[in-house]
Amino acid sequence: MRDEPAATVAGFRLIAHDTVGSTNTEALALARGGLREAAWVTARRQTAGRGRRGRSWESPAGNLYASLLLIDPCGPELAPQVSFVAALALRDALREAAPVLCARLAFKWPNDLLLDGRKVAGILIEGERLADGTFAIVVGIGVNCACHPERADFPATSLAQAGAEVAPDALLAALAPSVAARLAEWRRGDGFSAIRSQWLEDAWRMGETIRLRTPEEVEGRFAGIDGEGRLLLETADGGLRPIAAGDLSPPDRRRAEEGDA
Amino acid sequence: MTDRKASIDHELIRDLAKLLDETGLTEIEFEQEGLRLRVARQPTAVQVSAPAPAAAPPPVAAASAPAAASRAAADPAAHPGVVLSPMVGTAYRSPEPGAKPFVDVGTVVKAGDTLLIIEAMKTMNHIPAPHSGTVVQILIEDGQPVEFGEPLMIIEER
Repeated sequence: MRDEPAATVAGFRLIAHDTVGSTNTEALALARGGLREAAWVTARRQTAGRGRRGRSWESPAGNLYASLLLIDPCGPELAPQVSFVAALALRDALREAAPVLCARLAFKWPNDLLLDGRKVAGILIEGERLADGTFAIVVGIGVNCACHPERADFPATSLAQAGAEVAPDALLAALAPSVAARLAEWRRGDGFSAIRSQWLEDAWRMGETIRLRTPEEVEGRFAGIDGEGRLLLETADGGLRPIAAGDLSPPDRRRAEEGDA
Repeated sequence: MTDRKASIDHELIRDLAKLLDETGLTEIEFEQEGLRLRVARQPTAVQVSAPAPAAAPPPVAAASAPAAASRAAADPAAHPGVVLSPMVGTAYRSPEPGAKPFVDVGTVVKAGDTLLIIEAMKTMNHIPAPHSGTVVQILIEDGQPVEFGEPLMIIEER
């Protein structure tokens, strides 16, 4: 373990591990244990990397696994907005670290990063009201720098496969200041409308027919996102249904997968 | 506690008193913006609104179906042990699909134990028990959309 209490990145405390179960779990444990300052927790590899709803996140060495602990960044009602703040910051960092990718990146609602239409990075945020009343959130970011899973719920890719060699440390060095800058732009929610409109400019499948697993499957047109970040699904009867949680995929997903295989 | 305008207090107290009648509770404690109000009545007062002998079943159980439904809806939010949703999202009773729920009715919890998760925009908010006690009522289904302020569970303090 490489635990350096004095280390920092872009003014944040940096706690860099070699191997942990999950950087999110580590960061939450630090908050529960009394840490009351923003900090990045990173690992070279994770043995129990997590995705949405208990899904595992393959975490071999070579990719970036980094979780940012934020202390009282907002109340729980605004925490979901951080999904979009983090997604914009991650794109900023990828553009900086690999300029060749600029035009090939898109956001998959709410906060996945797609590269040439394939998932290259995921973000999982966890929030918790601590015993002393502090509200902590952990922004967990995984980026496929060197490798990606062959079989995943959604087709995946890596920066290396797309022709960009980016080391995890170099990406973190770009990511830490970009997250700080986007958080400042967000202004604890006051700046969300600007965040939201920038996100919408590069939203994958915006205006098109999509399928959402919520977990029951619903199809409709991706009409936009509301003031809270919920996906607005236009249903066959013309109604708009706001959806707070679910997995987004193309409508003809099964056929597309057969075509891939 | 008492330095608020009398007009506001009157209205609030009247509302709470009405809620007492509607729910058959004997006590409601209410706190907002530093103002704390406790409205209580003697158990004998219940007999005034419920003209049945004390040994009879509680009025809620005896009420007609629609009335029972509206009482059930009013009940949880007024319960001192209620846990309210701090956000709009989807509620999950277990850490992942198919896993054991965080808590069930009857589970004894201590303050800080995770009761459920509410997800919105891939933000998983762990909802901790505000105090120790026993889970006496679970008001949401797994995977159900919830609104801000919606009652989620009732933890009765021991």
